[in-house]
Amino acid sequence: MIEPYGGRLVYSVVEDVDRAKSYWELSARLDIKPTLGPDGAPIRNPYREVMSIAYGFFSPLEGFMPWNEVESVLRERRLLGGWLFPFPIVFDVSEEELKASGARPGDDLLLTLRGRPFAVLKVEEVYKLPDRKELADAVFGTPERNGEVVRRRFDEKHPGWLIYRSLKPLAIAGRVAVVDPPRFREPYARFWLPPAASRRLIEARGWKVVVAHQTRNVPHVGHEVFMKRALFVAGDGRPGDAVLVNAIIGAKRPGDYVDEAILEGHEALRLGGYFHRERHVVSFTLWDMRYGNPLESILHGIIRQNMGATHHMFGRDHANVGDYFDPYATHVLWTRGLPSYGIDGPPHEVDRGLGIRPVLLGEFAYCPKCGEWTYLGAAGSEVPLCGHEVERVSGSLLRGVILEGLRPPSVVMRPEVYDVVVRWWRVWGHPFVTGRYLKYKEESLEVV
Amino acid sequence: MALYLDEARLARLRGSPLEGLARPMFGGGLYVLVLEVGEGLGLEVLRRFPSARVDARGFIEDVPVSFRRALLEELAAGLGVEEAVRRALERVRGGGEEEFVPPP
Repeated sequence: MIEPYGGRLVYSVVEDVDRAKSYWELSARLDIKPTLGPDGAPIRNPYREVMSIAYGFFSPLEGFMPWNEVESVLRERRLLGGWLFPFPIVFDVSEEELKASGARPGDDLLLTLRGRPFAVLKVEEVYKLPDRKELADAVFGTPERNGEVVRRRFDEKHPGWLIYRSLKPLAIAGRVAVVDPPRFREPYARFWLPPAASRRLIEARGWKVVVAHQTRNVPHVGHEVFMKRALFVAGDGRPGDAVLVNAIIGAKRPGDYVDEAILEGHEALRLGGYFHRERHVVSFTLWDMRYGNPLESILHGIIRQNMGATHHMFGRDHANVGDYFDPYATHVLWTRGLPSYGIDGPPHEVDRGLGIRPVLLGEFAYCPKCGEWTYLGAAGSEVPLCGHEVERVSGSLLRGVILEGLRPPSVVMRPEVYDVVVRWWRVWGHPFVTGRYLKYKEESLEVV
Repeated sequence: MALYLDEARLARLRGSPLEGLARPMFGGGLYVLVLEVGEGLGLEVLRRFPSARVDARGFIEDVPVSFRRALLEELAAGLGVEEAVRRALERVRGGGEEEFVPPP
């Protein structure tokens, strides 16, 4: 079994009921509030970060970062312990919130979620964040400083940049522990597979080579074929054992697939027999995507290594939005490193880097003559694998087809998957995220 | 830009010059009608619809379905491509973002 990232899997969930309840009476308390964008709409909820830290998805990270660790991450993408880590993880508060909470360094601060006890934050430091626009630029880079992968200056249309830009002025650093785990709503509950449970599953099934698939989409057949191909090549001489599909569940954008359809769409591949039930598992991680393309790929590698995956698929436009990053920036990182961010080599080759191995993939295309999915060469090459004229398949194309009410042919989307899309379409009145869905999603979150 | 058509929608263009321009997609399961629009008009479409974007193929995508449907109707009525796009833009007031699209 691959080692957890940093050598130890974090699990900070207080399971002893009496001990957990002792925290419920803390006098220092703070109700978790979402980060709001310029229009007042929620763009992040720190409860997701508390959950991901406490359940070990971000191991070895144990809590929200103190300022010197934020500086270390911005300077060389390293935690204070030296391990590669891509983003500052900060618990931001307003002056009013801090004052009302009564929290001081040394205190245990009870974090509540919609008024209910949820987690405890052991306050180590309270600090003032720098100018958030400068912070956001420092997190993502600029074309001048990071020209190897950044194509244009980040702005408020970039959801990840906007999160850092919109942070409140103060931050509380400290370790976190969940003291009353929230109960997930369906369908999330049946896909909740935190790292410790994921590792137990992998061990029980005897999987040695597990390929992680990052998703924020309902799968089309191209995704399925690429997962199978990645599995075939990942094992260094032996075929891989299983695919670990891990969806990032967090704040959404209009036009995205709804989270419920993403999870059940991947599940439909297994239920439909396109993956054997013993070689495929669907799960999720709570995280408001920063769309940091190569940076995000490091976090994805960390999460999936902690879950027990040995390999990770990275395709074109990995965790990308718009044209801020080179579409193949993640491939640049995993083949050469990104020295301008302080990462001198591929994340799996540097000291205190990742153990998970990359499987780099090109751009989806469908060849009508071969009658199968193929790909265009990686890193900017437009040359397809076969000698025929191929059809490039973008997510936008498929969204257009679905929105028109057209059933995609089965060579593009499995009927079972399309049926899932339509089932959630009936629930939400739209196949994709709308204002109504966003409002519901960020008010109710994923938990009861 | 592109319109995606099944046999029924393709039939609405039967006899028009556009019929021959519709190309089969995915081995013939669907058809795509590629519509070339000038840069100025393309920018107007992108400006009108906040969700619209240019995808990896260079197509303007993620436009509201009401716009696509209006565009098909204008083309079926015999208008040229650019004129049909302008008419469809006029017919779809505001940003054209739909909160509800009836499921199939």
